[in-house]
Amino acid sequence: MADDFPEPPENGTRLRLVRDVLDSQMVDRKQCQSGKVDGIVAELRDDGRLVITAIENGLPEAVRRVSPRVGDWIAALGRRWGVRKGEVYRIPFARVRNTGIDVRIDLDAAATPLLAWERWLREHVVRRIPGAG
Amino acid sequence: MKAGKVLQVALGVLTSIGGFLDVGAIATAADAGASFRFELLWVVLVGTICVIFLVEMAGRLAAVSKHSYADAVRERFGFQFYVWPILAEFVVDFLVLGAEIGGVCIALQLLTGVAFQWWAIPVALAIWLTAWLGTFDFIENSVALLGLVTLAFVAGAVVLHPPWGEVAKGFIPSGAPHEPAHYWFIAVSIMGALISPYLLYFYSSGAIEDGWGEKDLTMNRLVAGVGMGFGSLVQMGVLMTAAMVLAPHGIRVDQYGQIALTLVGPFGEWGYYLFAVSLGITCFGACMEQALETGFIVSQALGWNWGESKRPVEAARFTMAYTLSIAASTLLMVVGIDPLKLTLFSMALTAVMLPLVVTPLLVIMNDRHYLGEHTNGWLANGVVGLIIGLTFVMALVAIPLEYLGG
Amino acid sequence: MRAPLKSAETRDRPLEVHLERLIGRRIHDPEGRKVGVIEEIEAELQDGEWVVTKVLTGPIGMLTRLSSLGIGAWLLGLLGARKSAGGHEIAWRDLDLGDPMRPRLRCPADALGPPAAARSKRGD
Repeated sequence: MADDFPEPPENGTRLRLVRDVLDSQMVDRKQCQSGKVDGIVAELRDDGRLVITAIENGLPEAVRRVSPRVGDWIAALGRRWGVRKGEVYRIPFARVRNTGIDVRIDLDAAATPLLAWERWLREHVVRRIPGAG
Repeated sequence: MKAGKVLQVALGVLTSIGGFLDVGAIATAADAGASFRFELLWVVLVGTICVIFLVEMAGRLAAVSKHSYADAVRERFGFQFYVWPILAEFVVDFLVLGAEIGGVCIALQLLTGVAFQWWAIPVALAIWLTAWLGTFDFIENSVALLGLVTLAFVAGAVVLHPPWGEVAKGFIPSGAPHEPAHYWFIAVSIMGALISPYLLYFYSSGAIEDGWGEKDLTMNRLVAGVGMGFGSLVQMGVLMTAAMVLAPHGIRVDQYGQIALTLVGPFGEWGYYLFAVSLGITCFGACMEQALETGFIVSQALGWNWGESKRPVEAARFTMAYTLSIAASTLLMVVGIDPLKLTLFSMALTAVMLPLVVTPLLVIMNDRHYLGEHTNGWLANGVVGLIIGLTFVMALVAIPLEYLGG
Repeated sequence: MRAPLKSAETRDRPLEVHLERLIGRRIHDPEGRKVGVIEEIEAELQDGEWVVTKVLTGPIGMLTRLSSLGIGAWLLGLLGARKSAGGHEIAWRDLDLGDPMRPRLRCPADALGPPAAARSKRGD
């Protein structure tokens, strides 16, 4: 865990998932904008509790909220042509902290598929144009 | 206020004045003056007051929360809602950027005689190169300061000795003296040109690019109030010169060449070149802002890293977004679509989507998670409420008026 | 009650629920009566795990989600709709997610009591 990554809150702390997590900006260990929270995954345990296990990032998941069919179609396009192969990336909820407006994630986004398109465009397109820096 | 801060405010005010006009503001103001003399000045005034409040709020939101308006709408209202204003904004941005590129091309056509379609690709390349190599500060300050040449419209209006009594009456809201459909169509178009959604998105993004914080709230208020206020004088100058030069001869505005006459009247032959330079610079500045705004809203909607002040390799998706935006909109001019008609149509379309864009502001500006103790007071909420009501009315009447009076 | 499993899944694998897809879903009671639309979901940290505890429905839920209970309640009051524009806080144990796309209340809607009126709650 990064040194400045917030400690988990106390037991009994409450969280409003739609207001405070869903669609929030994810910020990684290096303060890099890493996408939005497009989905929240929970598991229904045998004891009846619904436990939150992960957040998700991926355009297909966001679009499925508007239209499942269009979301599936975008995922299919991604599998055929996309850098992330249409996959939605999951981050374990233990690595997530709500810090007001943003959501901090305890990882380096550059080493994950979160920035796959950024890397691909940078290496295959942007760097080849003079003046890209 | 320290000297450095005063300079910063002065620069902000000057760039607001220089950057106020764009192809939509010029076309709608000229049409208003040519068709109805000074009768529509009140619309420019009302629109400006609305803009001052909206821009101040967008700046305050960004300075306090370090989030742009696009960020906040997605975060608060969710992707299911936000996808619709975003898609509408893409369509409008595509058309408006095409119209702005057309404005620059027409300026070059006026100066060289070479048809505007031939200028489309060189102009697009110039826009793209400036965005690719420049920083946000360079683009905002240099182009907008050059835009101070548009003060020629204010000077022209004064030189023509306007009937000040009639001008004053023009600030009092009135009904149409004739051709009511055309009158209200221009009124809605002026408002659509002034209360442009891109203002909220671009201004809040710019505040983040400039690193504004809570200490800059006073500067934000001054830039919004004084800058936009004086900037509207330039648009009023366009309307007044058109009223005094075009209206007496019954010249209706259906080409940019006719609008050039507004400065020929006061300044003779030099006025023609002054108009072309003003049109070119002001539209070039607007192209930069419009192209960057597309990059901003895509990046912010999807949570990408973004920033014109970053090098292209540091924000590859953002730079590709504005690159594709410029390329797509350029096609509209390459195929020869009339820039003036495209301008007036896109202003009416902007009016249709305004409620979707402005309504969330009422919620966000009262959210303490974003604004802390700087949420809206009763006056700001009241004004936003009125603006939302106005945008709903405009949205309902814009397209019918386009057919009846456009 | 568990949802019918897809053929690729095993009985040992817990049922996964995409919470974002619950937003906007209408809840019905066992008699098929409409209860409300899910607007917000609340969770609580219990022994290191975030456990869903309740869902919020109706305008109350939506205003909570938008952090707008203050101005929303004021506007509703202005329109005379504060009392009728309430919503429910439904405990998780009272919901059946056997079919996640069609959440059902385990008890009759009457058992929830009247919808809570929209009260101004500044700072929420």
